[in-house]
Amino acid sequence: MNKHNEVRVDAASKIAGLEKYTRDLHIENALLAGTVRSSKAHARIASISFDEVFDWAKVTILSAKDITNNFVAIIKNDMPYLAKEEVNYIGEPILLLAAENEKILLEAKKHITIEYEELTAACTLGAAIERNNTDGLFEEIHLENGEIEETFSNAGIIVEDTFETGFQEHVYLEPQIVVAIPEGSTIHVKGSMQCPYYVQNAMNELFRGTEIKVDVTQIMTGGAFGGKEDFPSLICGHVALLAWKIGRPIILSYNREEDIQFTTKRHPSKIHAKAAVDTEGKLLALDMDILLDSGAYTTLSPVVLARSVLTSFGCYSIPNVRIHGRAIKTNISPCGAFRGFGGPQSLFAMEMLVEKIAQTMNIPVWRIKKANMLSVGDKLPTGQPINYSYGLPQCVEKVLSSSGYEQKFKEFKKYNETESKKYGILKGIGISLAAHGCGFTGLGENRIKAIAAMELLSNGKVLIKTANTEMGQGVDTAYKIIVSEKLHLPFEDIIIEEKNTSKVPNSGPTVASRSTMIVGKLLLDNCEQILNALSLKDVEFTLQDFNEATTEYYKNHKKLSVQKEYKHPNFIKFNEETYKGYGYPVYSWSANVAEVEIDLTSYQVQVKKFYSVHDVGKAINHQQSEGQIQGGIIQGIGYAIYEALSMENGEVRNRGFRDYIIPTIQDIPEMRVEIVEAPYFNGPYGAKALGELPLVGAAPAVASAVSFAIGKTATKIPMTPEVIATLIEKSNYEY
Amino acid sequence: MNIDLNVNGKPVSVEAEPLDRLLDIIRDTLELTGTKEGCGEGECGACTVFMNNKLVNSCLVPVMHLHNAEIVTIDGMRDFDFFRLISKSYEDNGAVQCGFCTPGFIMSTIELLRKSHGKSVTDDEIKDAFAGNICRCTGYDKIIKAVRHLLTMNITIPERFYE
Amino acid sequence: MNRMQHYSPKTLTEYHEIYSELWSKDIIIFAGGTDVMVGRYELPQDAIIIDISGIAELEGIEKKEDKIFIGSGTTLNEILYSHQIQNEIPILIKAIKTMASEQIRNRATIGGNIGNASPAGDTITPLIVLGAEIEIFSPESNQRRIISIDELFCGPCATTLKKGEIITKIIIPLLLDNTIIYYFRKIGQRNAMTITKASLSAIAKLSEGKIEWIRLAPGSVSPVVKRMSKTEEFIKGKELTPHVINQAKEIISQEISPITDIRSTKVFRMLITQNLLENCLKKIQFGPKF
Repeated sequence: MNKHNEVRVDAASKIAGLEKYTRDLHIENALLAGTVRSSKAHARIASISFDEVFDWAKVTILSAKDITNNFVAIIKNDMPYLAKEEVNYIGEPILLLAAENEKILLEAKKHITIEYEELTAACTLGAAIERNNTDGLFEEIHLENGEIEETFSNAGIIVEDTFETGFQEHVYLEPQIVVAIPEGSTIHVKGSMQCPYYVQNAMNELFRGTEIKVDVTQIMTGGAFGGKEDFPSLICGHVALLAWKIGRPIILSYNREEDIQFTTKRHPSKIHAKAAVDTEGKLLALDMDILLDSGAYTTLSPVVLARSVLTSFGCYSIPNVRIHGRAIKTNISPCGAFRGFGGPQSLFAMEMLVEKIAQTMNIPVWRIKKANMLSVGDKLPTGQPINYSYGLPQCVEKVLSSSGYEQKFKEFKKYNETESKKYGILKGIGISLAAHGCGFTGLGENRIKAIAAMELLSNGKVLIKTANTEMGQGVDTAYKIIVSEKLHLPFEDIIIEEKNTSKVPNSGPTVASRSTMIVGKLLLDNCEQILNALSLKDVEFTLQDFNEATTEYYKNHKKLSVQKEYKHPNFIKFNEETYKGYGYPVYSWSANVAEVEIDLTSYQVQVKKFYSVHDVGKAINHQQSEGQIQGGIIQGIGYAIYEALSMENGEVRNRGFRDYIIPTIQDIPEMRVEIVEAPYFNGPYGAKALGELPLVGAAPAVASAVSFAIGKTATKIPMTPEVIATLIEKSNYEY
Repeated sequence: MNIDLNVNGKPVSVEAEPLDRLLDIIRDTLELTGTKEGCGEGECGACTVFMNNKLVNSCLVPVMHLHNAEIVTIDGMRDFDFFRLISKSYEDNGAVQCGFCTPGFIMSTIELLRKSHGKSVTDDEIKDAFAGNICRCTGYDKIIKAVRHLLTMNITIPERFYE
Repeated sequence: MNRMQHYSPKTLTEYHEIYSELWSKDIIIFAGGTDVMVGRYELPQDAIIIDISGIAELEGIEKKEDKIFIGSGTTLNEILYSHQIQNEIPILIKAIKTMASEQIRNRATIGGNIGNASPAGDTITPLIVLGAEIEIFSPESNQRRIISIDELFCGPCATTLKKGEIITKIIIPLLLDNTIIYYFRKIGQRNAMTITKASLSAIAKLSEGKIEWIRLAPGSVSPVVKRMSKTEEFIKGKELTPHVINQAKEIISQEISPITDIRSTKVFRMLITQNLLENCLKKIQFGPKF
């Protein structure tokens, strides 16, 4: 496949403001919905009263008693659409309101009083573990390989520490929004979402036993990053129920404050990690205990934990490994998917553990990382051999060379010793190696049985039918490139069907960095089926040949419709009890170098330069792939040093952009991004995962650089100036 | 209250409350949906428009300030020649991902090109121009590239968009 | 927020005339609106909005003798792009450059920033060290009066303005000595669009290696922005040795009372304010090259 740098198919319309997002849709006769929420972290609802001075005729109210199947179908179905008797987090929806406009909704809310009988709330990991409720453990995973106890008891050098990562809020520019439009006994649900079929499944369960049929359409989505993976199922249920009750279209549009406070966040983690090393710094054993703060309901936590476990050993060859993971229930808003999905948490711990080993043993950290890096043929602790599509060594060589890492390592050390006092700056350079398992964990893909379909129309155009959603990552363009490459068709002859569950098959969710690798491959297979039908398989052909063959085909046929269902290659097996086998069919890899400066007046960390080399198997669109990497790096930098979500007694104190700090254009480093291609035999043109990996390696690289600068291993992110001051001045300047 | 203003070169008359937002007049009353709402607090810049020839966050402008105001939104920029050049540079440089922040960035780009016509612009000055535009997808790098490219082209932006 | 009444007086006299009808009501003064619009749903339903953005006397920048008069309705960008202010009051320019964005500065007024009286208001610390005066108009008496800016603030987001009073002019005496050194530094949570965690404005005169006099006003670390008179007194007449600098840091820590909030902690703010003082004194000592 040639190198592709096509302009995105949706760029022009987005630039001109012509692309329609959900709020831009013209919906006649719609009402606005609002949510009345719990103000307690854990309580029984004693009473709900409606003040008579308010004209309640202006408002429709929905409560739990109006809902028969009051659970959001995700994994464990423990989360209600509306709380009935008990609330489990501040912000939990109790009532839904619908009215003509925002002003009426706000006025109505002021006239509703909810009385509670408070119950003990455990709003932090520590409190939850102490409370030790039987339902407090959402998931537990054990992975063990080799002789852990023996290795540790014989080890000369043991290094350990506790590592912590904080919440992270997605801050997609387009806040959550969904609409429901009733039409007879059908409800059309539309909105900003990643997974129309997740919503479809939830709606099917919600309306089971009624005559209601729901179809779900994704509308162009203004950013998601995982925040619109499972959360839309909840709010789609909300609008669908209101639309059903009232018989009018319903719009539920969260404002920024509501979005920051009450939607899903990245799971905070507390990870105790211990390693045994030999005198050369070679890793002999790893023992890790992972705790994920999961919030009040299960949602996706079991899968987040799974990925956390399967990323925890990073890019290293470690003969003896014990990983213990737990997803713990706390009385806060449920945590959910966020780019990396458990990987950023455990990879941070692993990378910083190696950083500590380096500092303890006084060996430059990059030497230890290189020395322990997996080699072709090595096995992961799951038993998975790394014997194909392994571009990490190339990534490492390239990043070391393009960043001038080794030279700067010496220069910065010298600078810190001699110049730093004069200029009031500490310099740091850091490196991280990162991995991201491609596609669903374990047997997930075999369970989903994703289907992608295509149709060759009589006019020679092809129609792509998948449920994979464009949210900025460029999937629509990538699919057109894949199909164009195979069928020699120009972009304008390739149409992407609306992501409407009544029009496209279930190709699985747009998550886990699977859209190109899994579904793109299915499309390639579809193309081959079409070529076969046209007798063009395995021959050279031009666009003209293709058009002529189509005309010929349509002389004797009415339609050409193909589809393919995904199944892993047979050798991909995974045991969900022992966690042995192929956690993922393949991994993508990256090597990252960050240069930082710490200002000793303000203790602010500035990332000055960031070098990143990613092995993605094959970049379908080179420029868009770079853009994804850059965007992920900046989010990872946010995760590392800026984004501090302040949670107090179960309440999110941040209210919006003003106090949840994400990088502006004035905060970014100079970035240099390179792509390496170690092709994956089962990906389209060799492509494997790209979307999430860029974020996974960024925070550890920055933390490594900060550790260099202050001469001490950073163990906690975000490294706000208050944290940095505490590390440097050894006094407590944090909260 | 009744307000007469000019939007994208056309006179418009609206009935609204004094503290209703310009953003809602643009999006709901006039159904010009190119301008987006990302935060409602003037922090993200997705709602950026020109008001009396100056860049403003339309989510913070009250109707009572709109008497005879000249408003130009992204919808009113599309037909200009300079817009085609700006669009091409953003497209060619991969400066768009989810696109929600993009109209706001385009408005700030137009202002930067107008202000800097004929002069050389430093990277710091580029970054100052976009301090009020937040992007979560791109990491800003390709936007800066697109803007740098435009600055080499000596594009003329009119002093006033609509006479 | 339904049917809020508003008035848009075109002159101060007109405001006085309207006011005689409204003195008993809740009044919201509205200039640029970049703060008020954010909280518009929380305004009392029966409050009256006085839109002062059209009042003629609040406009303009002019120099009279050795003073610069800035109309309170002047937007931050109008000040930022004023060649006059760039030349005559660079410390104010430096401060405004760190504020918000182009979009906000085209609407936000200096009168609003001062009148909001937030201890984090970035135009305030420069004005305090400049010894600015504030002209105030009373709609009740139809009279103006002038006070020192130090007399304007009485608590976080609280001014000594009586009900209905508005700031009309900011009067800045020019220091005609071009050996005077200015310092402004703001520390936020990131490089742009950030509320001040701690900041420092300073003006000083150095002669023969000693500080002849210095004026200091840190931001965001006290209920009101004020001069650090004890620290200033201590530094006056001294050579800036490391010992003196350390003592000055100790004294300033006694004069401020930072708090913990969503942006930072009181101990951290204390630490960086002291660092800012050190940074400032070193800059004064070693000149711009430092």
